[in-house]
Amino acid sequence: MKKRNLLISLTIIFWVASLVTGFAASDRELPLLVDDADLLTISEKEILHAELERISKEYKCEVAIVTVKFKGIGRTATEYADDFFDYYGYGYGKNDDGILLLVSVLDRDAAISTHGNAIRIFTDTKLNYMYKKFLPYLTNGNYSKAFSTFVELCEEIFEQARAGTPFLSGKRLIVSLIAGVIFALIVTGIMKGQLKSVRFQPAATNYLRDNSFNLKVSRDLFLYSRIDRRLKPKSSSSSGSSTHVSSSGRVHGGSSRKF
Amino acid sequence: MVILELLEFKCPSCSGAIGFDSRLQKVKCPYCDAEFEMESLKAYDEALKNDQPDEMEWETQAGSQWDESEASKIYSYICKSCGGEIVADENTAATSCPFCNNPVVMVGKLSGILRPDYVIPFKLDKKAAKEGLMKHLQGKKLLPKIFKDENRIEEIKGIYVPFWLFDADADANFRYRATKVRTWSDNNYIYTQTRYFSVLRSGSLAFERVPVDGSTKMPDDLMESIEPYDFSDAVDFQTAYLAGYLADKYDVKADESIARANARIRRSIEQLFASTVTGYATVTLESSNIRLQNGKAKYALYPVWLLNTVWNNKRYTFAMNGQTGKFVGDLPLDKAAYWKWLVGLTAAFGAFTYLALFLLRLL
Repeated sequence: MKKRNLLISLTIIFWVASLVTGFAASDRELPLLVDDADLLTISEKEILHAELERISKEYKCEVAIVTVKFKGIGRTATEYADDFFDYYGYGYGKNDDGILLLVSVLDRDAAISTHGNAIRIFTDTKLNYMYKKFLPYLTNGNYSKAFSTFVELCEEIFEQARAGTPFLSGKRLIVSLIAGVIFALIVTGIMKGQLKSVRFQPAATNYLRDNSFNLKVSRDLFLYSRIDRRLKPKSSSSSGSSTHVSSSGRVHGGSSRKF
Repeated sequence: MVILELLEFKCPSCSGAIGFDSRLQKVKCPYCDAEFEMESLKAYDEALKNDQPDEMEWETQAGSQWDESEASKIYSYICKSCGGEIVADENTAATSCPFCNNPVVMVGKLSGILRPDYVIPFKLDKKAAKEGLMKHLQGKKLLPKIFKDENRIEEIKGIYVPFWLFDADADANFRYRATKVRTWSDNNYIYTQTRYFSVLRSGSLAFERVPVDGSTKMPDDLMESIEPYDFSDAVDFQTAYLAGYLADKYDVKADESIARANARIRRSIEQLFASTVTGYATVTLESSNIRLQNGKAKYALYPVWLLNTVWNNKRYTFAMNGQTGKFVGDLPLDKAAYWKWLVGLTAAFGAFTYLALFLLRLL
């Protein structure tokens, strides 16, 4: 009896402990909004911060915005964003799922760093789509609008990821139908072929006298060579996310743009 | 004193004239900037000069004359319906035409045709031909079931079919243009190096007894479909082998059959030489010439079982090699079954693809 009680209480302790660590945004040293460049008014900051908190909790993936005046020399914007994410302990849960937008005002750099689950959710295509939407506001100096757009886009993409791939899709139906017809034509073609056995013999190889083939000349002359070069297509993979390793050795996704 | 050897070559790349100076080690074409090794350029030029036209000449002294006593024992028949002409020995009464099943009439003693050099005697009997048909109809899903069930072969006939057999030695030269392609890349560019080769092949080979059907009544494609015959069973012709079988009279002369034998021999030679050119990304034939020597023709009778049936007002002819048992004959298509299979398989494969695309999150 005593043994069982002990077992139950131990289980409960472990369960509570794992819940706590599950919620652990605890290792983060800075808030989700760090406006070191002072681009936003106090009321804008409050609204944006609340919004970041809400979305991070709702989708179990931290969304952070960091602004700096000058990122310093020796690091690219992407590297800076990765390091900021790693050193200040951003990220939700034990995988540190999160996305961080860094804006460096004097460099006119914008960089997005993703980590954990966010790498998979924010594919290269999705990131390109996001930049296209919010970069113009940065260029115009409308920072508040740029950041709120960024948050809205994150939510939109989280929603898409949550909905998953819908089972019904017209495009998939058409592709499968075409593939099905091609396969079926091949198979029925083979079956039809079984009915036909009368055809001309194209060659007379059956009647070659044994060992009569005598190759007297067999020369392969190198004449000349040509080298063509063409520009490497820049990798813009339509699906999937390209990744890199940050200075702390962790895998990040993301990219950067000028504004 | 330096003696200049000045030669003129054709550029293998653009056909422009390249002046060639023997003091230089490499040659560059002034028109297309291609660079060449002297040695290969020389060899290539020689190969160009060696090009010759094809020669495919034959002697066609096939067959021989019958002697009196033999000829008197063989009767000739003609079918008034289809014009087919057959011969049979005195003990075999031919009553119906093997091609169209109509009655035939005897027109008299054998005349006007040559005596065969060889015959391959029948090895398989009528029963084997029937079994051959049964096997031929099995396992074919698009064959109308009724055709299989109602299948009544009106008559099965063993016929000796006249074939012209062509022997020849061949010499052939081939010149191919071939390329090897290598691709690599650095940070910015993808490089493709294409190396061009001139590939020279020449050699000799011999063909023995390439058969060509000598009867217009026997469809050529049907006869080629039951090939090959094994000539090691062939024996010198004796009228005794005709007993119990019909023999078709040839009506295509040997020299009229040469074109078909040439076409098949040429194709074989081309395939054989092409198979010796390996290790290249692309190979194109630039020039070829084939010379046949000692072309000889012989006349032989080969055994064929012929089966005829009419279904839905259409005649179906089957043939079986009387020596090897190879059975051929085109069969009708069950259109309803075809559409059922097509739609069914499309649905099955389509559903499978759809599910696979969904599960793999593609599209």
